[in-house]
Amino acid sequence: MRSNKKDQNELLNLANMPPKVSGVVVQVNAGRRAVQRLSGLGITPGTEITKMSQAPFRGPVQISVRGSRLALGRGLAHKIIIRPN
Amino acid sequence: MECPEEIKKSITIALAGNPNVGKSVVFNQLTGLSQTIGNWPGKTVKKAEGKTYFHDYEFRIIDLPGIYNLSTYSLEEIIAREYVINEKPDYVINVIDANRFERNLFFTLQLLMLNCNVIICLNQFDLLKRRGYDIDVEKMSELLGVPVVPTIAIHNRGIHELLEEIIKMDKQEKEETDIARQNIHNFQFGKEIEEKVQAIERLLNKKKYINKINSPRFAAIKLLEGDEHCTKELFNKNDDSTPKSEEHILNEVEDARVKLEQMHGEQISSILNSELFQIADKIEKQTLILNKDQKGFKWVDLIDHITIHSFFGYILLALILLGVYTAVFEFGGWISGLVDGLFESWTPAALEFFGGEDTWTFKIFWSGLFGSFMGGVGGVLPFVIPFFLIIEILQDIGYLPRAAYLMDNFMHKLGIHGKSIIPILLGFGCNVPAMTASSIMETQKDKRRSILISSMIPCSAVSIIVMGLVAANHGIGLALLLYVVNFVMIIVIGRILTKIDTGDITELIIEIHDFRRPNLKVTLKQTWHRAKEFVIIALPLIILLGGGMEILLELGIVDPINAALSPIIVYFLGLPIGVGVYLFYGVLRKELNLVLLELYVASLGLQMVEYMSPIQMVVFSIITMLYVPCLATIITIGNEVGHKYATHLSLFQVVIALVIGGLLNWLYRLIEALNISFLITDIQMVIATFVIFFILIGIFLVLVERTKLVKKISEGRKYHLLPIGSENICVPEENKCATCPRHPAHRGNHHKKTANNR
Repeated sequence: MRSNKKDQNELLNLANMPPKVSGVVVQVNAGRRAVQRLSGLGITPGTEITKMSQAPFRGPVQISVRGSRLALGRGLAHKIIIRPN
Repeated sequence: MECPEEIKKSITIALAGNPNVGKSVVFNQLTGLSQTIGNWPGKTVKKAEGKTYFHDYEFRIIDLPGIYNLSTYSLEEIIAREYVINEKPDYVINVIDANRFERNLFFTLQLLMLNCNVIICLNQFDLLKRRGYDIDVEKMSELLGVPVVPTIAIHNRGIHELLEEIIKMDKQEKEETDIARQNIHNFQFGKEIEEKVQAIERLLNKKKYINKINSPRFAAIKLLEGDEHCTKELFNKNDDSTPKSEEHILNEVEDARVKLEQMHGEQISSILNSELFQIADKIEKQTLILNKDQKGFKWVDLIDHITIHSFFGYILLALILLGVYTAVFEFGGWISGLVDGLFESWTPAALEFFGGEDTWTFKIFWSGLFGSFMGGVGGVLPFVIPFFLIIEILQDIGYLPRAAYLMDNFMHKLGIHGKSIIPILLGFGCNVPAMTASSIMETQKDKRRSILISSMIPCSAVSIIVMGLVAANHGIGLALLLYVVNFVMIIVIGRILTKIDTGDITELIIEIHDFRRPNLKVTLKQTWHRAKEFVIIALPLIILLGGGMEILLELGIVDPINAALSPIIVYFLGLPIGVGVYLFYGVLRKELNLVLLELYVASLGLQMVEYMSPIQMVVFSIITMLYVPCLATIITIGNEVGHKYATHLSLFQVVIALVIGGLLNWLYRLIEALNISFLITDIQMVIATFVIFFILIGIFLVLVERTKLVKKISEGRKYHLLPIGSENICVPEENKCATCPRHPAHRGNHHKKTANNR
């Protein structure tokens, strides 16, 4: 279970990832409705995402995905797992 | 476009596309009808319809809600999907933002699966070229198998070509278009998925279901996705087929879904959408051409950066708000003064005409009806129209989603969604459009909460009272304190809301657009559209009530009503007895409270300061601020979320207003009775009252905060990797279960226990 420890260290969720960093979505760890909504906006595993900014006071994150910019609530951002480039 | 004498044919067209691609602008340019356009995703929730005539054809045009996806996530998606499937419009114009090509194509691909005649309107083509890109329109048309028309809707370019294209398609042989449609289905998923989809398609084709759906492929994909809406449509209403055959299909679908999910280690909707995006990506790569890379400094980028900056963003937001209100009140006050002057200058002539001040005709027609008309025109419209104009501009340039981004966290603290910043901002102008704007919330619960909070925002009518009564007589400082009380009450109620309702608020998902230049003509049209609603609701009411008030005064009915209300008004709230009936008028239009009270006090031959003491003015204003929203607002709330909720909300707010008003009154009396030496003037005692009031509210708020009814969701989760199938799946540590390693699919009870033990 812990064999790929190196990978484990590399993974971050979108909320904890520093701004101005790009990465590839590894997993969207949310319920069916949220996954449906996010995947409809192009956030699917394998997609490249750039975190553009993070609103202060634990606010939402701003991302760039497939040529458009989205603001996502922080709780949701927690559920999106990224492997930074 | 004028109606020609003979119409050959009538064609129905639906406009479909993502939010904010300029769909409403296309609609406006086609029909010339004014309809709300903005920069807010999902704003066109209501159905807009228009007609136009072109080359002997009559076009009936329906503007569908802007959506990202043809799933059933929101009401808008269901509306749009149902319309295309059931109403079968002759043509669907798919409006695409050329600058967000890939995501828009994702929607186009879904639309094409629905088996309808699609024409693509490639909008904002000028912006794309300015960014140094180009799109190979012919190639795109060839790949998709449908006509593509590049447009710049805001400058009315390419709009006629759209209609010409439709006429051309209409004249073509039907078979030809059918062949073109067949080509569309050449977009195939990956091998395993395609096999499953086709298997379900075959099952559907065999049965009589084929009559109920215009596209077996779309239905197959939706069934596979577990779309409840589609399943219901297909099976529950079918009386002929035996339940067994239904079960057979459903089992087959279920089986396919489970297999695919296991194979990919993802949820089905993610797998299918991912495939569609890959197709869209492929088309983008073949058609999008980069001419010259435009790098270097751009002002727009700097402004963009500032608007969402962690520090300057808030400063800018505050400055914008401050600027809006100063501008609105300065300008409004100026116009208002002009109108008042006009009215007064006409009064001598009217006196002569009606034959004296004491005649009932003068009182009813001049003071009552015409006076209240001028009051409405001078006292309300000059404040409301500039406010709408500014909000409209903010919306058109694309600022509002940025405000939502900055304020999301604070909004969540109040138990409302980040998008609620829109109704709240609107609420400062008028609560009616604020209630309508609440419909952008995704769930009914979010909508109700948003309505509850934003209906408590002091609107411009309330501001007129506070400014006209308290600030005019006792200075702006005291008036500001009243606003503080109002906002504190909103916070208290918001906090209680988050405590008693344990359900989560939907997370913010909002698109942030590039700034764009607003089109003056379109903006003015929208402002007029908003203001028109207001004029239609407000002015007639004000005029009728003003006249009615004078009639009541003439008939001598006011005094008995006041006597009946006196236990509450005089003893509990400590207000003068004459005020009672005017509070009722405030339900109809809030500013009538003050407008009519001033008329009444003037008729007694008194000044406002002589009639009411400072604390009385404060209590009167607080009551007006907090008690029921005006009638027009209540009606709008009823339309949005049901009349039962509207009634409950109104009663709730009356209680809140009475409690706060009474509390302030009794605190003041207590201070008065204590006779404290350093509190000499009335104003000092009023301020002391506020101090004690805020302390009490503070204690109350702390008590509320300490009541732990909702478990807080802790942040900073750590993720583990667990092997599932061939893929690695990450699991938050707090969800990790010691007893069972395969856990994401499993959310058993013992998980909750472990979470609670933490």
